[in-house]
Amino acid sequence: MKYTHFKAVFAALTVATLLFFPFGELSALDVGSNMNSRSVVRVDDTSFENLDPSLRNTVSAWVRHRPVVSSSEPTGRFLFESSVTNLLDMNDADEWESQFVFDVDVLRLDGTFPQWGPPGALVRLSAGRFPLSEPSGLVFSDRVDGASLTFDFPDFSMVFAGGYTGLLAGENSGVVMTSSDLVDASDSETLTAPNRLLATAHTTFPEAFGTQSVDAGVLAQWDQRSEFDATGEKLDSQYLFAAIDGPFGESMYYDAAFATSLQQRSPADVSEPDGLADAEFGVGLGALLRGRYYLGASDSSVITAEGRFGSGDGDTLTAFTPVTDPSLNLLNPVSGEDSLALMLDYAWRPFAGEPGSKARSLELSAYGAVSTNADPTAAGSYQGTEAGTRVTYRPLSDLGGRLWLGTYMPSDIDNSEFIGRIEFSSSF
Amino acid sequence: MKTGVFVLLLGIAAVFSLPAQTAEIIETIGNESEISVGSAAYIAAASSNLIEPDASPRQALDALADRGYRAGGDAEDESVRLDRFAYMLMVAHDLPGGVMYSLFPGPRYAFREFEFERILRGGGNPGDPLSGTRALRLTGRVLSIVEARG
Repeated sequence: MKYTHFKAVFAALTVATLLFFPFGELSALDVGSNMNSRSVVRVDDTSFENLDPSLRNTVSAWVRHRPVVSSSEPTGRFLFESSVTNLLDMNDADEWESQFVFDVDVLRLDGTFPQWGPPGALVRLSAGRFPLSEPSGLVFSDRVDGASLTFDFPDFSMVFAGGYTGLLAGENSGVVMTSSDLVDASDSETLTAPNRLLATAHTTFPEAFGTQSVDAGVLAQWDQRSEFDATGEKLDSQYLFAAIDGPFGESMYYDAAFATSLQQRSPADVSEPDGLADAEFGVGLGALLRGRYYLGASDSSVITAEGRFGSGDGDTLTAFTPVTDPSLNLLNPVSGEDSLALMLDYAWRPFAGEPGSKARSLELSAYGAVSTNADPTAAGSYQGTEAGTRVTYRPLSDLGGRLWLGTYMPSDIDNSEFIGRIEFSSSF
Repeated sequence: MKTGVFVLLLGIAAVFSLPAQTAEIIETIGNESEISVGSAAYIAAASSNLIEPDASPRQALDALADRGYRAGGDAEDESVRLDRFAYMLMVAHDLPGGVMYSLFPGPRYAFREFEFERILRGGGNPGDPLSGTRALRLTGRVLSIVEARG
């Protein structure tokens, strides 16, 4: 869809949403809108001179069909959500640069087919643009254009899915795997995400051992890029992953995941007919261990400890390159490749035990995270440390915000910075 | 009487003193697999002492209408939707909603308020029909919030 067409669809959807606001129920059809604003300021923490502000404001509109799901008859439903994001950045000349990003966030058709599977099973089919992730959390979590088929059996479920990332708006996608992808990400004329095909299949056993849930599966991605500059490269990869999670005692929950990658990396070579040198094969490893400990009345406090590992290039292993980098909820993202990251987070909801209180959603948290290269004992391995605090509050169902203050100390201490972030969100 | 309904009724009665006749009628409604608009209105209005114990479903709807409830053309004997019952309880207990509920009070934003306050748990669609047991469970949670807010 051309952007001009998309703008027209977005405007029509927004107007339709506004027109529907005063009405009550609309059969199974529902429409709504969300507004999110994020302002970030980065300041050099030694001189306080280099002020780097940026703003990101997003308005989205959605329409969805939510019929009553029948346990015996096929049921269809859909969700369409589109957004426009305004990015404001201050350049080196202290002038604001503005950019608009139009995106179809979700365009999803879902069907449930109780009669397709054996008795007690439910078959679900989804097609369109939708979020897709694999259960280890180490390899991929983003949207795709594709389809997924899920079989829910009483004791386990199976998911088969495939999709394409090359039509997503690059600004809203986290797919970055190669130097060529990085070049595209910083190129203002490249509007879409890297062209990659994905296929995945995984199985979940919700209560494999007592209350422990076990997942296992595979994911493969094929780089569809056809043009390479001199420093470019092509990367195909396949992943095997397994994950286990569940309670550990009365108040503790954990996730543990392991993934291995098989990679075929082809550097650019202009002397070759296809512009690529022969592929170099490699094997990488990724791992995740996370524990959450709840304490206090109404679980008002939670301590989260998390460690992530992604192998780097070495004698026996090569770099573990995930399709999307792991989400560690930090102001400065940590790469999943050649990385060891440890994080400790404490969150406290002082009014959690007071039902109906408007202060119930107030959450105060503090955290610290340190990251190094995969081998922390090697010289120059240290990447950086981040520490910060957040205040999150949603006093009304359709209005909320967050204040986030942090400091980041990279290996070059002269590049340390303070970061302040304010977020508002509302829904209509 | 089903045990679940009895327990729920006991919980509601503990928070809010129900006359014996009202308790009997609510017990009957509580055992229905799919309650009507009239029955839903009776539960909502009775839980807020807006009606006499022997009031009819019509009188319950009128009592809610007096507080600003817009019926939306539903017949008394029609099956009630989840979002409409949420709206009835919001009106009956004069619960403040979000910005959009304040501007456009109705089932749509009442449903979202119920999701936000975790009155509604275990999912559900706005158009879902409602069993008597679930209606009493939702009413019990609303009464807990009303009591906590004083």
